Amino acid sequence: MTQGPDDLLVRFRAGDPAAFDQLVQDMGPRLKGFFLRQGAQEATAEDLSQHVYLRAFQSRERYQPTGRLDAYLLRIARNLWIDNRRRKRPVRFGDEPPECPDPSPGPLDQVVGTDRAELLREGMERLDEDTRELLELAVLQQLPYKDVGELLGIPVGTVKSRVYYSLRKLRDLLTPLRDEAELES
Amino acid sequence: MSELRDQAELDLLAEELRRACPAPDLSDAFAEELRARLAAHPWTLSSALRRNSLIRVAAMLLVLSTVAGPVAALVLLFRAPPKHVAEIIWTIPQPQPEVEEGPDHQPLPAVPPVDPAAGNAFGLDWQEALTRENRMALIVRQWHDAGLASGQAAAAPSRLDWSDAGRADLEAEFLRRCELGILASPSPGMVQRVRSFEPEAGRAAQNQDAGTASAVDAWLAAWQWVLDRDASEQPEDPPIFFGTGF
Repeated sequence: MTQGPDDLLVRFRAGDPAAFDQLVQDMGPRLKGFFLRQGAQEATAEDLSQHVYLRAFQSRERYQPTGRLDAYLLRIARNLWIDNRRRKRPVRFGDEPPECPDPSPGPLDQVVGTDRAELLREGMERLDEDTRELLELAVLQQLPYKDVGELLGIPVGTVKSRVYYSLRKLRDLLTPLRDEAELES
Repeated sequence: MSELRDQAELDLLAEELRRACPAPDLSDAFAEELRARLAAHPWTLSSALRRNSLIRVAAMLLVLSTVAGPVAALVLLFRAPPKHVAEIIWTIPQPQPEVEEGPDHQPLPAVPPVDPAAGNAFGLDWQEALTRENRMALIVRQWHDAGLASGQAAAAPSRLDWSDAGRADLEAEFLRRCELGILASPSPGMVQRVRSFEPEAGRAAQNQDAGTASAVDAWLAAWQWVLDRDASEQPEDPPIFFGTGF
């Protein structure tokens, strides 16, 4: 993600229409993925992603391109998600109903149940909220540890160690999950 | 060594995780919807408050003025009323005090106002001098009302020392005062000289010397009326109107 003079938000503020398209193209999926993996529904994730842009747009005059733009937008996203959870935002019209996982494995589950990616996604879901958020920012969004530390309010060293132990925790979760999947298959 | 291997495994795991959780695709309407929202740019109070300090101040004043009234009313409503303890008192009837009669007090003498300057100037009490001036004023007014004024009186008295003044001098001085409306009390020397003729007038009256008596009486009675007029004994009007010679 660019920063400084080439910052997309700066270019957008300066009136460059292409910057907006690029900003949506670059950060839209990442923001949506962030909200989805935090537990939002599809429509809510897109709605919140748009709110990130709206909030950045509203404060564009105060924006100082001193850091990474993706870290800035993810900070807004995180605050929005916290507000959303605090207010227990009602499900938007058009949202899919919350998924109620069927305990019995379906035909598709039997085929892909042992898939490594599926195991990892399920492992992520089973992690506690703080660990999941840390892996989301540091591993999936690939923010530098320094930005992650500023975002979460913890020192860089703590970020490093927590990422290490979070990945180990995830890895440790995979074995029982694989066993469960094999049993189910 | 095992730590390094562990770290390498975890790095691989992180890479696997990234591949397992790819960024989802946005809906087709995402960009258009976002553009519409940005174009609408709805005004919200929260955003306005964040951006404009004047709006923040105005909102704060509005809230304060709105809240101040009800809060003041509530404070007054729930404020503890002042403790008012009814005081029970009783009074024992006291007997009327006996007033002892003291010695009789004489009425205080009335002290007339004193004008030290006037008193010193004429050697008379201020009250007496004023009375004489009033009497002289009455004579002067009636003198002029009777049309006796000739307008030929001398501006200055005929003499300063009245100790050896004769009848004619005293008569002329009286007339001069009437003509000029001089109300000032006569000097002590003049009064003393007027008094000196009173025994002579008395003797003339006893001798029935009509001519001398009337001549003395005319000017002396006028002076005496001014100096010593007693309401109970002498007429209220000046003697000049009784045809005594003036």
